[in-house]
Amino acid sequence: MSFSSLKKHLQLLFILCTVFSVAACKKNIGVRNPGTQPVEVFDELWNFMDKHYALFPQKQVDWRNTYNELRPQANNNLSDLELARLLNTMLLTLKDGHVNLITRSDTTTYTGFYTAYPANFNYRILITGYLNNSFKTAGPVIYKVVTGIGYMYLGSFGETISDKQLDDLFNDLKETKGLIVDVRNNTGGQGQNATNLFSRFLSEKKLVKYEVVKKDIGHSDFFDPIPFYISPAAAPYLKPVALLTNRACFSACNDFVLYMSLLPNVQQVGDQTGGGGGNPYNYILANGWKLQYTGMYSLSPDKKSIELGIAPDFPVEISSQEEIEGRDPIIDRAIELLK
Amino acid sequence: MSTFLQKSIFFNPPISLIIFLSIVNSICLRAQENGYKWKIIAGVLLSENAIIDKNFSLVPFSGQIPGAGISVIYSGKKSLQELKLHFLSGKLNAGNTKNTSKESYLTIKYSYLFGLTQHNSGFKIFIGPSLNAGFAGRTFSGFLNNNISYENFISLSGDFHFGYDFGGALSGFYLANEFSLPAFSSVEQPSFGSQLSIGEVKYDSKLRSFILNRIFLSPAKFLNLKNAISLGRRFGENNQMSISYVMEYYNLKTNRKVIQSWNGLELSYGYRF
Repeated sequence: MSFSSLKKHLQLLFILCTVFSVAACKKNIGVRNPGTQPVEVFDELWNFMDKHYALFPQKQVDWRNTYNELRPQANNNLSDLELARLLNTMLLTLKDGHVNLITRSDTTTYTGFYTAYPANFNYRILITGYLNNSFKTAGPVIYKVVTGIGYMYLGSFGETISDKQLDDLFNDLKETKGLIVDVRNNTGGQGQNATNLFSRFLSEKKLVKYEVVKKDIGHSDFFDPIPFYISPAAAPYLKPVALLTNRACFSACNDFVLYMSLLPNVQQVGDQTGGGGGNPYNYILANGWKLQYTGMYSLSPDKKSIELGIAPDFPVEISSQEEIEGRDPIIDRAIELLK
Repeated sequence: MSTFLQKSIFFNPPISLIIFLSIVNSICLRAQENGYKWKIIAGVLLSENAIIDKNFSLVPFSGQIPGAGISVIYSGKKSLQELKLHFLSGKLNAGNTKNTSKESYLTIKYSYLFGLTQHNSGFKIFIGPSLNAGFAGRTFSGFLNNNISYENFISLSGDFHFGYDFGGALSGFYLANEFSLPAFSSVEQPSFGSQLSIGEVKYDSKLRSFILNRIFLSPAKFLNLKNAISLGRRFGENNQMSISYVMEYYNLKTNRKVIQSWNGLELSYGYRF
């Protein structure tokens, strides 16, 4: 090819580039909105969970079979309500309290980890019968010292407890001979809050769990577990502790109980925790609904699953009769242990 | 600037600035030694951006965000070298949801181009390789536990520049087009199932991840197209102003799939001596 011929070709290319640029003068080149028909949303959700949900090996659910069973019910005539019901039917097969679907009007999640079991907690009895309607607060924590034994109740890890609040709390509890830490009905919240509270019971840096992260799209594609350590705060509480739990202790609360169960001065009393050993992540479906799913999970320091909860050292239940009589045998047993 | 960009070791702003100024300095010194003219161009731009990060949604996060660019060019009789930096940052919205993403995008590109036309020709053609380093970071709002995503890439690309100087009544005006297509790229992203880099997962080190966990991709796996068409006017010996339509598109086909495009208008001032 002669130089003049090459020049002509390049001039043509120049013109084409100009046309290309002008033609591209529109919004969002090459980035298209996804389809939002019910069938497309059904397939999108199933496919996303298939690649990203971290607990398939533990849940023993045949996800492909779930698709095959429910997919025939999906069609583009479904209303939003019908589609939400169908998607929830699919998600509920996982029996995972971290998995939920948030539509414009509703949130549906699995609650069987605590609704299928006795409550083993009555807040009214606690406040009136044991605290006599009188207690102190430190952020979300309520607490009291009675005859040398401290009691603290934390109903959620969703609200941050500041370092100052924790300083004040443990300063008030430092002269006690033992402490009851009640986390019954605590359905979780921020993991950092659980870490901060646990650091007040810790005398030295400790391996408390392993975190397991997905490596690729396969159900069993994980990196090796990543060790997770927590360091102690100043002046930790090292006296005997009774930790009260029930089935509604879930997620960050379950992690907190795992950490506490590693300490020699802590005894767990009550019912097994509800589990939820994973971390919830989010995803926005094409129709704008939000999916929450378990994107990674934790193992105990001896690399055992905590997804189904942590069993107590001293199993104690509250019978209907005891509840009618205004008694909480779980607290009673804790007091006995600390006397 | 996003939290993530601040955390990134490679795009630490002071380090980036030092690297950039060192390269500019070496280019200027070399240009002066050889007696060639060189040019500094600075511009501001407003772009329409859209991004799909499939780990978070198929719904595009889109919107208009501002940016800035600076480039240093020196030209010899038959070659042209250019160092260009572009930075965009702003907030994008996901359709009719309330979710947003703070987007930061930085590219640094070095080109060494060979002229195929006569030095004094009105029509100029330059072709040659370029090295393009980029970082795109996103911090999503309304997402639990996992809300950060990014990719950094280094591409060896082919660049094609064309220019035309008008004559007659339009003397002083010029039209230029720059097109870039990668031949070979190296990319690093967070691990598939978290916002931690693979290095943090495997080695507890972000630096190791940056160096050891890069994946090498052909244009089929990382298609990155850039084009800028400019209309400019020279004023006297040293000054020029131009308006450019700039567009970039990239499609990253790893297990964390990302599609990003932006296009916008850039207003630039250039000084040459």
